[in-house]
Amino acid sequence: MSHPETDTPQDEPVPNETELKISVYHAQSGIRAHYTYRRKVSSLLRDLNLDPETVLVIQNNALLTADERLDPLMEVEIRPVISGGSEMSDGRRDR
Amino acid sequence: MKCRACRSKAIIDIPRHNAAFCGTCFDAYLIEQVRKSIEEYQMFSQEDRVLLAVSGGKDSLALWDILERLGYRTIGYHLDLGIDEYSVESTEKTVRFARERNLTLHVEEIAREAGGSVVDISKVTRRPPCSACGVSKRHLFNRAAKTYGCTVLATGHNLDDEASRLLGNILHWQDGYLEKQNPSLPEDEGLIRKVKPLNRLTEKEMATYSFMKGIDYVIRECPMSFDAKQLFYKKVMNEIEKESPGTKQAFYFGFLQRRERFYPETGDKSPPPYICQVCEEPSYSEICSFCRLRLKVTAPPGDESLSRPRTTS
Ligand code: SF4
Ligand SMILES: [Zn+2]
Ligand SMILES: [Zn+2]
Repeated sequence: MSHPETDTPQDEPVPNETELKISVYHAQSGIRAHYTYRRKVSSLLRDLNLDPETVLVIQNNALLTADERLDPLMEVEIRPVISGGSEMSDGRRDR
Repeated sequence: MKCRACRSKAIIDIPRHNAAFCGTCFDAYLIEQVRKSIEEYQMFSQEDRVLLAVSGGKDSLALWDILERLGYRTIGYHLDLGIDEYSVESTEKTVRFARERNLTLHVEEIAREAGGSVVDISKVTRRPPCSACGVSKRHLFNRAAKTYGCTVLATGHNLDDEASRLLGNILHWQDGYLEKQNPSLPEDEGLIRKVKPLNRLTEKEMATYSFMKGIDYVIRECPMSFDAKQLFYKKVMNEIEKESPGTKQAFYFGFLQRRERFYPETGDKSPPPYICQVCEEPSYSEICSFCRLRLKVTAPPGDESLSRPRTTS
């Protein structure tokens, strides 16, 4: 899931720490996984192909904005915010 | 990133308003957005008794919290859809939320009211689960509002829900639905007034509020939602929004400003011509959609008059 080669120059993989992994908890699926550590939240989200508007990023019980730094030693929770389903109509004619 | 209002550390970035807020300023912003919608669309007043449809998800639980803070009189109503673990968790979290805050909540089970779970109804009626669910919710929410003496029904639909619904309705030119796509639908022939006070706020904002307030909501998806087109429309809207922040809001509120011009009130309300023979609610046929669905689900095996065979293939 992690693609160092797609990263942008602003956040190159950390030198000598390319093996550093960060633990991510996907709150919707309940899955825990490890990905290449990125300093910035936005870089991790890009690796995971996630739009910052569709998830909360939580570390150490605090919300992180996309420009913030991640602590490599603490698990990050990714909590999707999109709720699905629901019928498309208000269906007033459909009684 | 710094808070636009007070320069302390921001917890949320809101690109469509070119803003970021700290927790305190975000709370003030969000409450103001809800207050504005309630006033602008004349949704309800302090005198109204508001029936709030609570699913156990972030939007409806957060809305309940907000309406209580604003001092409105609310009664919660939760419909247990009987969808395995998902519904068990939804009901548990809703009941706990109400109990911890000492709020009035009524819980009904679709299996009791309609004769089967959403999945059972869907199988018997051969309708998609969300359609069976929608027919049941409309009927039962409305009935609950009357039963508990409420003057208005509030739901937790947010800006993303409304913009994606609008996109779907326009793509298929659903005039009947577009005409009714209003965050404050007036009372109409036996159907109670229906309002959406979160229509200015995105999913991300509602999830952020719930997190900040420590609201324990159901994070996982309804397992039936995989076939819902609305999720696809949400994705499309988010792609557009990423390229051009503010488009979602401009699209939805632009429509609301033009709605009356495109779909003028005719004054001819054409009330439903029938009274349902079973539940005695206004209906477009002799037996309303919900009662037809219930009769099919509860018909004894072999009764083909209303039921279709339960097992196919
Ligand atoms: S996703 Fe469909 S079945 Fe599930 S709650 Fe929403 S409308 Fe009902
Ligand atoms: Zn602030
Ligand atoms: Zn009926």
